[in-house]
Amino acid sequence: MAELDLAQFHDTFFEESFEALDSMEAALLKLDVGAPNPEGVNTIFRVAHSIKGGAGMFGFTDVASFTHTLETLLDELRSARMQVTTYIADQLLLSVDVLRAMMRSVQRKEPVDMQRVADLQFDLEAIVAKKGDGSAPAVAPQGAAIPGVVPEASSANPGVVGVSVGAEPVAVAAAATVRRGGWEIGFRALPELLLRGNDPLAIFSSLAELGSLQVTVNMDALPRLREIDAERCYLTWRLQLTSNCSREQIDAAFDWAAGDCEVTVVQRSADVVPKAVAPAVVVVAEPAPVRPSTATQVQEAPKAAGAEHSSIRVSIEKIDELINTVGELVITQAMLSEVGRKLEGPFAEQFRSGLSQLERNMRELQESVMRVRMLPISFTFSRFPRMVRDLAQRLGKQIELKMTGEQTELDKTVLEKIGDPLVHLVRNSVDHGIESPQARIAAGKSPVGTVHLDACHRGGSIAVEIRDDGGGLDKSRILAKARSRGLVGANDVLTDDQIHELIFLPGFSTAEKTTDVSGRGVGMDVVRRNVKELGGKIEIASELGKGSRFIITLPLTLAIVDGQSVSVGTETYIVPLTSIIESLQLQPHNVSRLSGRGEVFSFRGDYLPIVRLHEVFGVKPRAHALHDGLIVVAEGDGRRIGLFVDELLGQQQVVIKSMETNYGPIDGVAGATILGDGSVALILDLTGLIRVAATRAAA
Amino acid sequence: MTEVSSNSAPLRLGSTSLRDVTAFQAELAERLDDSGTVQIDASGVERIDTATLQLLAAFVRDLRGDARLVEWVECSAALRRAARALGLTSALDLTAEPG
Repeated sequence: MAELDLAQFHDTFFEESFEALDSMEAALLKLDVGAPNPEGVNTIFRVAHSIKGGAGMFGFTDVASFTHTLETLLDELRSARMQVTTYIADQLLLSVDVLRAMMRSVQRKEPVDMQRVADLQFDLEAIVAKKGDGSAPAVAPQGAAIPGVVPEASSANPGVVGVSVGAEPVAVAAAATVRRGGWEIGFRALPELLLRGNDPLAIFSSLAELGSLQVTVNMDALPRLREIDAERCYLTWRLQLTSNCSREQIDAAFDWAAGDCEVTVVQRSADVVPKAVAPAVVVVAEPAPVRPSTATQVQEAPKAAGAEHSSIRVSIEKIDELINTVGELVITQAMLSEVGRKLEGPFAEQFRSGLSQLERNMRELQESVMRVRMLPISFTFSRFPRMVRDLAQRLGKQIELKMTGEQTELDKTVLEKIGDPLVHLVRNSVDHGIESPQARIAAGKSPVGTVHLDACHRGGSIAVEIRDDGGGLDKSRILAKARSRGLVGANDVLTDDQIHELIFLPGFSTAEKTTDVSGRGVGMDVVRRNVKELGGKIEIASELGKGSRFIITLPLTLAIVDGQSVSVGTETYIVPLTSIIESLQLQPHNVSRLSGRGEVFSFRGDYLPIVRLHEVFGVKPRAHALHDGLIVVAEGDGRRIGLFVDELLGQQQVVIKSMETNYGPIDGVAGATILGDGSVALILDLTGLIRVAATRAAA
Repeated sequence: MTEVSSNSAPLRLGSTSLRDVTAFQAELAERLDDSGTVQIDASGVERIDTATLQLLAAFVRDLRGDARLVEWVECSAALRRAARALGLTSALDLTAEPG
């Protein structure tokens, strides 16, 4: 039958389905149980429908079957035959989880947890079945727009609506009085049916195996020979199947064609008069032919559920290649500018002016290309409503999650890596930050706590803030814990900031009980490390009793960095501007030598170690005496040092070339760049440098 | 007495599939421009699909509209079966299967 190899489309199907599930979840979370927004319910329905269609086409029958049940329930909801209740909303959210897990297993070719699926499917069917109690006979709008299809039923028997494929019908109710004699099946192909390798011949022969089949064709829609699109099926059929087979067996015959045809299946009794039981929710497509535009095909629906604008998928490798090439262009242009500066002669001025035009174009190009990799932070934020809701429920707390700045864009890689740290911080707020409703009332606060996630652009960076109005960090407890662990001397006096910094030490947690939610607090040092690795930093502000704020600052892109060029001997190094605090010239009396710590200098009431770059990199410097050169006070991993250099050269934006790709990882070096004169400058990584320097000092 | 079409060679059908369907449509369209009865030899058909049968159905119908006839010189069992499965036996002017 199918001459196409469908496996090549699997990846796209999974990708789109996971996205569709995300939008389904988002719509479910926004659903106001009291007054559900019809468009929201419709969105949710369409997602389930399209996943079912795709699953059916690829033969993922378990997924198709489960989604079919889900779709049945959703159809009841969107046609207002059933009310959305909190219980139903919860079950729907659970369905999203189960579907996700199912599809992941299918994608990885691992066994699916069918027990979990079956249990939930049973519950969903029970919900649909219970609807039949005392509700007004609901009639789904059925226009007989399809020629040749059995006329719609005049009354609906709710109990039998949407008996799903592969599951036990839960409640059959009045249908029990109908003796199964056969089925009336209406079949209409949608335009893509034949192209997708489906053929009515195959379907009808499967049906014919179930009993005795009478086929009536309708050719009304078939154009004159010359006007026919030969790859499209214009025929519709009415089939009468005399059989004691089950509905599921009939549905199974249409499995492969799901999404490419419209099928209505009506049971008829052994009596001559066909007793239509229900305008059964169709297996494969829209039951209401009056809305042909929503007879969705597999590819269209996920887009309808999500993006409003057109877009194409591009592999990340292609983008990175593009960015790399643009980076090379920038370097070449810088080199040309360098030559242009030195040029003399009749055309020099013209050349220089042309070059500066080129420089402007390059900057624009670079920015555009960087933007290609940028995505709104909503991709990461979207997981939080669900997470906070579930956690708060589990912990018996009332929490309102506010999210602002979701459209703020950042680099895809940064986006992916910032997810985990954010999750940890939000969990902390929910678990340790926000107090129980009783405690909050006792403290004169509203019983509902607020967690606020915000993102915005600040200069050349993006700032992400997690704010809560909980209990705040208890400085005295933190200090006590640090002292008891020997991390802080008994008599040491620390500033508030320094105390807050303590929570970033590994293994630090002052929670009375660690819950399985946030764990033992081993996360904060990992959070900081992850943020650092992205070239960012994390700061804390907190007030006891009022709440806490965690602010993460991240670079917009990983490919370029704003740096301060410094020279050491004949070498140039780049210090990332985000790491620099200040530059100064030392006087001999500022410097001391402490045992075990080498040379130090005093800076704002603290003694910072001096790192002689020429020693670290084995370069011959121009200045040997400290007061002959400059100290760049820089920061890495919460610690500050003074970098001893010959002189400061200038500030510039440089394109980062990866050390690892081109050579190998070097401690203390974040990457390299090619300067305008063609020479290579190493970009310093402060965290690594501090480590290296510490090792040397100890040696 | 039926007047045989000026393109006197019978239309020979082989096993066709979706790939060949557009070419087949062109062939049929040519025959529509003729006059007289169209003879079809379908003895070589071992496999046939809905797309092809659909075209044949349109072809026969359009011929009838011109008061022309189709004559099945030979018809394979496979084609008969497929036509019956889709309910197209009379649309294709196939006589009922003997036996």
